[in-house]
Amino acid sequence: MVFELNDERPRRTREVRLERRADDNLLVDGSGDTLLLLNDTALALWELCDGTNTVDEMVAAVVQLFQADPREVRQDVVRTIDRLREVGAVEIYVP
Amino acid sequence: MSSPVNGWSAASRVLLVDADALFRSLLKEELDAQADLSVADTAPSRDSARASARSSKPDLVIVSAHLDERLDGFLLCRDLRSSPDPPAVLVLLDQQDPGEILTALESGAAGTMSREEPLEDGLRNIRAALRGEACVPRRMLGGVLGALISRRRETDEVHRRYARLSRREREVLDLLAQGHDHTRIASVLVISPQTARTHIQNILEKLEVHSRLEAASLALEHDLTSPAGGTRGL
Repeated sequence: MVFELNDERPRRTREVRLERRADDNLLVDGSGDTLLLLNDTALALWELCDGTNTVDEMVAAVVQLFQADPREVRQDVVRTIDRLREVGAVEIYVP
Repeated sequence: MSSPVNGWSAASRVLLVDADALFRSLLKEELDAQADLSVADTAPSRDSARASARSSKPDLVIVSAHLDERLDGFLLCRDLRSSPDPPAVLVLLDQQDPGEILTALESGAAGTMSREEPLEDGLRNIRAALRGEACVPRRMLGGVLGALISRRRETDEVHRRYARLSRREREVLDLLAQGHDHTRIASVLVISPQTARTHIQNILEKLEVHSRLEAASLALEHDLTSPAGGTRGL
């Protein structure tokens, strides 16, 4: 299980970049192949992956902004960041 | 120019608050042209808007963040949202900015509109706010969440410093936040002026601020109050 330590801070990798095409947000690799299509929330989480924000902080912010259920939000956030990590778009940084 | 109101379905009533008379007039014309919206009144300031909201009972208030040099629009938003049976509020920004969007949401607004955006986007936000939905611009969500994280970190840090204060120092801070000087504080707490000064000096060191004014602002901004005291009713 990933993200058990509060100190883990997801960080975007240099190999993957964001491309906006019309209303779509695409993560593409160095050769231009699409890795993931991001919805609005996934895009926001991707933007927060700057190596300073912990997963706990991301969860707390989403819960506060949308007044959503913390357990459901945690599941969604962890799943999204896990997916970003699987495609090589983020790495886990521990300061 | 009055709005066409259907016989069976009244249009939602909107109050427009902006210091610029020309802008109010132009936006009123645009909104009145929509079948489902009707501008009930317009107002140029916080005071006139509060009076108008009481009499015209709008469903939605669109309020400019910068009514004057201060951020009166956010305060007006708080006033309106704390009233009985509050209207929905959208804060009008010069441009979408994550920090200002967050301040608007924290002030009770459903969301924001920007003078830079096309009218269609503004209308979409107006209708979402009238349905009771929160409307954060899609592309700004990451920035708003980032601003929220930064603000929570700052608040946690301030509360960590506040936890260092003794009970007596917290009472002194309450009085500082109410605008009292050290002689008045000494009199209220029945201590010597020199003791009051020492407490104040300790407070400044523990809160890591340089002046009494800074300590008082920090107390007000982060709602630092001792259980016996209570600095404000903002």
